[in-house]
Amino acid sequence: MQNSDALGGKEIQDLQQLWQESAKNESINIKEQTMIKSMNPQLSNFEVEFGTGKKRTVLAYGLLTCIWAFDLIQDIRQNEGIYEIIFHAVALLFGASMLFFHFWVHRNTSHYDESSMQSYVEMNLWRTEQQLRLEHRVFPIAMAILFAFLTLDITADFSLWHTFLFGMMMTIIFIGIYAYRKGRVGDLLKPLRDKLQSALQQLNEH
Amino acid sequence: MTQTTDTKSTTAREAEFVRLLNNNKARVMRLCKAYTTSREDREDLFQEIAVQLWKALPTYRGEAQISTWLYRIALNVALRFSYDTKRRKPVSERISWIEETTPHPHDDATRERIEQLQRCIAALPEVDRSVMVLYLEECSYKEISEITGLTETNVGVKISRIKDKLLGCMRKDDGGAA
Repeated sequence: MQNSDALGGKEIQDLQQLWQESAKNESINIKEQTMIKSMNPQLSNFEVEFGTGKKRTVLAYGLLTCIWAFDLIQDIRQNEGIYEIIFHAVALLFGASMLFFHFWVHRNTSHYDESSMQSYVEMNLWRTEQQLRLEHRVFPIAMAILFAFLTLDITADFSLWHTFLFGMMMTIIFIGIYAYRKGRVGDLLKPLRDKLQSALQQLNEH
Repeated sequence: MTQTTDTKSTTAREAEFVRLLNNNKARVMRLCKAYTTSREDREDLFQEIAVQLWKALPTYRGEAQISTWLYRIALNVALRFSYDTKRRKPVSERISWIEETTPHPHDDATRERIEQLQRCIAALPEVDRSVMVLYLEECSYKEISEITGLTETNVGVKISRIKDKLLGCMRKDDGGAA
């Protein structure tokens, strides 16, 4: 019986050794950066929610800038009138600024330290801040300026009714939007900042 | 200055988690093998265990040994995975952050013995399998008791019974092979 027990003990030891060897040298390479991002779906989805600095946004503004540049050249060549020329010049300026802005954000975001979640979160937060600033401050005021020149252009070509119904109204609406939204960037960012801070805090607590 | 310290601290925590996973990946992998049949399932389970460990990290207070804590989580996930696989429920996050695995370089006889052992373990009922896996991982009765929630006496009785069953299975397979 004792022999049998000793034999069983030896066998079990062999099995333990065999078991330890079963995953020995089997390599699993963990892609750390992808893993850390995938741990929090909120963070991995964060990137796709905003188009700021994305290649597709840069391309879209590049295309718009080209179209407006073409229109401006046509206006000048065909002598379409000063207001139309100014309108397209402002549009071109707007397009070129947007192109520059998105390209700048794109360059910055592609150079952050991808191995650090802190850096990843901070960069995305910064990008979102720029996006909101753009949507709530720059865009309404740029549109107001554009429509102001469009109003002047319409007045020259069409009736006073068109001016009131379309051009001036649109200018006023965008000025109103600007006035309403200019203080909201901080309010909109706060919950987002809190959410991301709690994700980081979770990491810090351990 | 404070922000720099925070950044360093966060990076250090991340590094700690990755280190924990890397230090224990062989253990987790062996456990995964006991509860899955295909490589794809094994990698899914490994990933799921890592995700759950990450989520559970803030709750680790250092009261239990890190290995006990890790086994407890890994076993729970494995048991749930095993149950879900039967119903073919997808893993929560199928994001591939595990690179290709390479086959283990054992000779034919050893590989066959390992496969035989895995077959015998897979044939055990789930609770027995958990206990046996932990026993083979060289956990003490106390640790097994803490991980599984069974009493130490119960663990002792179970191990003695499962050992016989396992050895019987291995010998039977040996006999069959011969």
